[in-house]
Amino acid sequence: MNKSLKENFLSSGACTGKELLQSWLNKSMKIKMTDGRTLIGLFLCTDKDRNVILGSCEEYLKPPGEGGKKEEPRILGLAMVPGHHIVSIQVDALRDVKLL
Amino acid sequence: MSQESSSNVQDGVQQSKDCSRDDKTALYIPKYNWECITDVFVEACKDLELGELLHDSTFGLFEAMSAIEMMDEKMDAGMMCNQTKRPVLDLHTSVDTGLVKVTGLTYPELIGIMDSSLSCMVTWLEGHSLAQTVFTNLYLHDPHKVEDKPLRTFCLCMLKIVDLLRDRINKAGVYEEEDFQPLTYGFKMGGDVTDVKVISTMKEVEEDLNRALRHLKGQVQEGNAESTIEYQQCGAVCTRVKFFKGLLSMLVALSKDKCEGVPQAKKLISQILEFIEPIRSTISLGIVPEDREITKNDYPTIMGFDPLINQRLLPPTFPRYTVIHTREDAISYVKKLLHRIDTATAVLNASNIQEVFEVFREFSDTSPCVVSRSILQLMFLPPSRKVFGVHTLTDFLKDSVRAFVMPPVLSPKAHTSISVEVKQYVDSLMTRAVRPICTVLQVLGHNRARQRDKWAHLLDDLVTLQDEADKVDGYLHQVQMKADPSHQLGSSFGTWVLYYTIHVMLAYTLSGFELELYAPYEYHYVYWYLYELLYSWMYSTIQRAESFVIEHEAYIGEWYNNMS
Repeated sequence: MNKSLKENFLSSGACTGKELLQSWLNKSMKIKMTDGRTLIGLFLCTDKDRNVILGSCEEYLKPPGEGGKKEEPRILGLAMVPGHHIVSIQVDALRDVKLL
Repeated sequence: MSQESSSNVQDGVQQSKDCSRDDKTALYIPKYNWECITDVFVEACKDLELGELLHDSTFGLFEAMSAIEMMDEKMDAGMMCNQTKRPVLDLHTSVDTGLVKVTGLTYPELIGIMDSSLSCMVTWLEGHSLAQTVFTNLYLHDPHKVEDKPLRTFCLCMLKIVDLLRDRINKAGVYEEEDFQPLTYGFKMGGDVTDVKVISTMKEVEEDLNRALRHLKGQVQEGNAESTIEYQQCGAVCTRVKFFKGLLSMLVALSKDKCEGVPQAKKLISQILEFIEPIRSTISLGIVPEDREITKNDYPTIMGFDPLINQRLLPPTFPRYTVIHTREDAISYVKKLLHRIDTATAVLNASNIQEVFEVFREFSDTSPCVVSRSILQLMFLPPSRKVFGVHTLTDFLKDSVRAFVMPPVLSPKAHTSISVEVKQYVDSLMTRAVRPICTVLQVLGHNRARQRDKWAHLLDDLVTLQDEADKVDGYLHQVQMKADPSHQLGSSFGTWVLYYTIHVMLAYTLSGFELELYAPYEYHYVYWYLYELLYSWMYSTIQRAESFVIEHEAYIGEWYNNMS
């Protein structure tokens, strides 16, 4: 699944990893941290060590969508997650992928 | 922070979330289409150089610097180690699970809750947030859920007191962020019940308790040992009910627009002061917290209180720890506060701005709290912008100039002979003087440390006013020369403004000592400046003013005699 996604993006014109990362800038991103918390925010910045800065970030204690009760997230604003505390990253993919 | 609208948010659902708070926030909850990209991301990042940041053009290092760092215990208030392991339940859940009682409360429980609430209120008044002090009391989140009449009425009373204090401090506008935090986090402050209703219900509760006291006294006299303790406890609750009722009544009286409630407030203050010692001596009768693990932001509390209940409402900064005052400290604080408010009421005796200025200066010298400073400001100038709620500012300033230099143009006897043009000129000067002079008094209302900066800014305004006053004096001099060259008028208005300008210069210079801004080798520069310039200038100004009063009064008397 992951490989095909990469291929998908590469086929749409992103030649390098850097361009791939740039294509995700300002999109909504969901990050699961090592202590079990989930952050949802706009992907604004990253570096070689995979430290990620999210804008308008919200913190969920339990993954949103799961569990019966709707959890009210804590509003963080601008937040930075150290790369080594990231377990998984998900991005809000476009329904219609622009093909060149 | 770049916030480009995401074009991929589709099927957005508009939801109006009904919070338990007043403002309805519409939460735009988009449906996401999550794709896992963890491995791809990791791979892609390897393409970056060490130290290279990947971002778009609207995002910079300045923004990056202000981001909160997650998983750093000093910055991340939501981290596990900063979180508590015990469950934090709101009022409704706590009541349903039986952890918090809303009916059948015993006297010791009532005493403990009331004393703890007072401690929280005092801690709030010292500059902490409502969320971490007053509203750690769950009962205050929804008083109507409380069935016990004394407790419910107390809760409404407490909310009203807090709301009134917040209103006064906000309106006075003499606080800074280190003095006071006005944010209410959307909590309801008993707005659906009037002050009068709360006070009258407190009176009913007081009467119920008095009846119980009489009954218990009878039992004590019969020799019933248990009743003695219960009698003391009941008495303690009754005293507190009277205390809080008095406190609310006093604040309501002080808030009256024309300051007509101040004499009543003074009476109430002396009444409330008599309850202080009985309350202090019965603090031990109240329930105390059971031992529990103390962490940085969690401490043991009695039933109905939870320090962490509002954690999610706090802004995402570094974790802030609030230490609540002890019950003894709280009641001592209130005693001093009541004395300060009582002292402040003396301002109503002033008949001109010079006297008000003296009262404000003496008051500020005692480094008073934000509540008393705010109350003093509002007693002098209530929201109606009339001095003591009664006089217009320009009239009051005219009285002040009259008292200081007695310029003939302002004399009531000379009223008819002065031309319209002259009156207009003088009136417009008085109108212009309102802002700088009121600012002088407002600066004195701020905490001591903040005054110096404000004095510096104010000097600019006073210099402009000084120029205008000198112009008016020059004009009046010309008019006088045409009318009666034998008597020359001095620079009345200029002298009056100069009095305040020099006072501000003195305040600015002297505050340097208080704030320890001068190095010891600079002391003699400052002393020389004070002695040779400022103080001697002030002395000559006051002397000149005194001689003006004598001259002008003689002139007015002579002129009046000639007219009649």
